[in-house]
This record gives sequence, C-alpha cells and structure tokens, in this order.
Amino acid sequence: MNFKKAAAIVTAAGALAAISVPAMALENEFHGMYRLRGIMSNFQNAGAPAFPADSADPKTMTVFEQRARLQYTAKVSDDLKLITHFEMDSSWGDNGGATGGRGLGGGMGADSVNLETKNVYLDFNIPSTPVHAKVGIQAWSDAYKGIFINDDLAGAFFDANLGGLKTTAGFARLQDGPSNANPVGQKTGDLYVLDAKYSLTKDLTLGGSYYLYRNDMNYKTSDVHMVGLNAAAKVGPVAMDAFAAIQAGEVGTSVANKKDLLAFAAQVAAKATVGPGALRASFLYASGDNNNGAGSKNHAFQNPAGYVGSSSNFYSSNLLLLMRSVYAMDSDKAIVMTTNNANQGLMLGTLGFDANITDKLGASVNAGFGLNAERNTTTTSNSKYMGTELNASINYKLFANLTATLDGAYVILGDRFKNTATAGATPKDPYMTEVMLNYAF
Amino acid sequence: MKKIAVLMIAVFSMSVAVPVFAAEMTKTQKNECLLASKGCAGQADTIQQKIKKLQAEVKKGTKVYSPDEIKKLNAKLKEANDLLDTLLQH
Repeated sequence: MNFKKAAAIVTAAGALAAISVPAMALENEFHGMYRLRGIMSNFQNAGAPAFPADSADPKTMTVFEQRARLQYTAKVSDDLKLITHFEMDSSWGDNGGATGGRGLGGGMGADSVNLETKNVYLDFNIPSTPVHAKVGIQAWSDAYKGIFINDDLAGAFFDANLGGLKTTAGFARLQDGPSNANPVGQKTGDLYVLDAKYSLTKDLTLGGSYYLYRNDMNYKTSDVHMVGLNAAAKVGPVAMDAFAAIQAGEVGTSVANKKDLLAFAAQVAAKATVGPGALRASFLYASGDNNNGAGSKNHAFQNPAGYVGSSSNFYSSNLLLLMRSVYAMDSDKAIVMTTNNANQGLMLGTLGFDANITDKLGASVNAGFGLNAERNTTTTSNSKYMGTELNASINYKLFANLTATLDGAYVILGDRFKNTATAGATPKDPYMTEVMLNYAF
Repeated sequence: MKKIAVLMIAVFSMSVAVPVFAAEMTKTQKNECLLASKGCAGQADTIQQKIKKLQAEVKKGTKVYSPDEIKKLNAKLKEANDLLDTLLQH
C-alpha cells in the first residue's frame, strides 16, 4: 500500500466519522411553575368592578385560583436560542368546555381552550460585535422598578456591554389600530427605549434613560418623553437605590383634548442586613393632576395602558392590597392599580423585614401607607390619605422547588375613600388571608 | 505493518463517532431511576439547580476560570435568575 492509498483510506474513514457526528447539538430546556392561591378576602377576586365601587358591603368570599407556566427554550448555542413561554390561568369553578377561554377552564368538566402565549422571542448575539439581541414578544421592564412599564411587549431590544457600560436600545409596538386584529401599521402605539448603566465600582452603578411612548392611534394624540436617572450603591451591609424621572410632551385621547404634559416621579429605597434577615424601606412619589387631566396642562405621571390589566407596578413595595401584588393572577386587584392612579399620582412609604429563620422557614412583615399626590375628584372628604396596609407572611420550603406560604393583609382605609362606595357608603377596610403553593422548576 | 496501522486509525476514527450509551444495570444494582427518579438518562436540571451550579462555578474564581469566563458565567447566572423572576412574577 502506497502513501496515497493510505491517505485516501484515512480520509474516507474520517469523512464517514464526521457525518456520523451531529454538526450542532440542539439543547432543549424546559422550565415552568405552578401556583395555587386559596384566598379568603372581602376584596381580592377576579370580579368587576374595581375598588371602591365594589366595596359598599363586601362579604367575605373564598376564591381559589391557579396558574401554570411552561417555558421551552430551543438552544442551538450560547449565541442563538428561541424562547417560548406559555400560561394557563383558571379560577376554580369559573367555566369550562366551549364556554371557557383565556383565564378560564376551572369549572366542572374543565377542558377549556385556555393556553396563553406569554412570550415568543429569539435571543441571539450578533457575530463579530458585542451586541446581544432579543426580538419578539418578551418581558420588558423600565429601569425604574416598573412604575412606567413592566409587562410583556412585542419588540426588538439590543444591548451591548462595553467595559463597565451597558447600553440598550429598543423598540416595541404596543398597539396597532384601529382594528387591532388586522394591523396595518398606520395608527400605532409605539415605545422607543434608550437605556445606559455604568458601573463606577463594583458597589456603585449609575444609569440614565430616555423613553418615548408615542400613541398615534388618533394621529399623534400622545407623545410621552421620559428622561430618568437612577443609581444604586452598596455601603457595608446597606444597599441603597434611587431614581428620578421627568415626563414631558403631550397626552390625550384625541387631537381635540390633547394637553401639554409635565410630570415626574422619584424614589429612594434602602435594604440592610440586620440579624437573621433584611430590613427594607422605600418612598415613592409620582406626580398627579388636580384637574384630572382636564386642565390646560396635565401633571399626572403617565403609564401606557395594556390590553390586559395594568402594565405598570411597584412590586418591590411587597404590599398585597394597597399596591399590585406580584403573586396576583386573575384576582389582580389593588387599591392603586397604576402609578398614574387615575391621574391622582401617588405618595407611598413602605417598611418591611424579611427573616430567614431556618434554611426552610422564612417570614416577612410589611407596612405601607399611601396618599394621592393630588385630589381631583369631588368627595365628602378633602383628604388625600388612601390608607395603611399591614401584612405578614410565613414561608416554608416543602421541597427545594415547592414553597408553601400563609399570609394575611389588612388595609386601614383613609378618609380619601369616605362615602365613595356605591350609594355613598364608606368602603369597609379590605382584608385578605391566603394559603399559597409555589412550585418552580 | 503499514496496512494494519492505517486500518487501526480508520477503526479508531469510526469508534469515537459512535455515541456512548448509558451503562446498563448489573444484576445486583438497584435501578435508582425507576425506584426514586434519580440518575435517569436525560434528566435535566431544574432552574434552581442550574442557579446553584452556576453560583458554585463562579465561586471557584480565577483559580479555575479566566476573567472572561467568569464574566460569561455571571451573565448566565443573571439570565437564570431573571428567568426564575419571569416565571414567578406578573
């Protein structure tokens, strides 16, 4: 056998070996969660109307609601993956079969078509650049703890890490009308995003943003320009953060009722390690408008409204009734549903303590008070004071992936709500107790 | 001799391309997969296990990983934590 022959045999064998090895492995990653809440409350359920109209004579009710989420990621490599995220929500007893639908299917017989698509997006790195892209329907939050937008959006976001500087640019289409079922791309609600964060040291980060929410649904009725600065620092056992944001532009629902906008929001928060846990405190201010947006100028902090519920929140308040709760599902009901708060704005102070009693057992207590920044409705009281919430919870890890929680919350209503329920009644103080199971995998 | 060497190289090239199959249980070994759902072939990490493993790797620091690799691990850790938040929030 000469050398040429030998080389040919080795090459042929090598080629055979090469085709029998997969060129690129596909990694299939599944994750998900299941949550069950058994609620006893005079306030929190999936029904309409909203507080305080529903609170003239609220009876104690028991509600059971559940949520399952399944996430599948098709990962070709660290540089390219498709992320899909599905959701099934139901309240026990709600509806089933053909009468069911989104958020339903917990009635006798079940079998409802109730699979929701929460996220579908492509996540990839652009070759030979430091740019990372996420395009499609995805979760997005502002750099201001969600007080402007924290929701699922359809858009394209690009970020790049350049040393200690992280920059993000993005665009999202929030609405496309007039018939949303048949988008034509003429009358749209769009969000434009520019974010930057710079780590001065490992314990000090500074950030800045420019967001534009352009609601062109009625031909340029709203242009909300938002400019913000944020900072986070750690000094010894204390972590602090702060932000301030200004909104300017024009808001309205039609060209005829368009108003000039000038609004702002600011927040300070601190968290300190104390004994076996962490002590938290925060204060948030969002400006309101004393003419309910009907004057020549509007000073109320704006939140774009989503198709399903509210698109802004302040989950870090850890409140369950006064503010939207991170655990709420179909029963997403709070006294303050958006930072805009019906153009009244918001002043919110919170104090809380999270204790890690053992590896498995934890507890948390929270208190928070809320006021309107401005009064803009005529009621029997001129008070801006909405109320004070007290809540407490105990968490026990049954397994590494399954946590059982028992919690309770009570709101001592303020005079802002005096005589504001149906037929001029004063609402009863809202309360809630619940048992909750959270499984994540 | 040359012929044998070439054949051996060829056979070796083929053998490395064959996927490795999981070792079968011996007659005296317990099947922990059937018994306790442990050590099953194709078992995937939960998100919590993934976070724990990434934290452990980041902790090894520059003795094991280069600064770039640590940065990459930290980015994956953030991604896993964000994923857990996305699953549980809103």
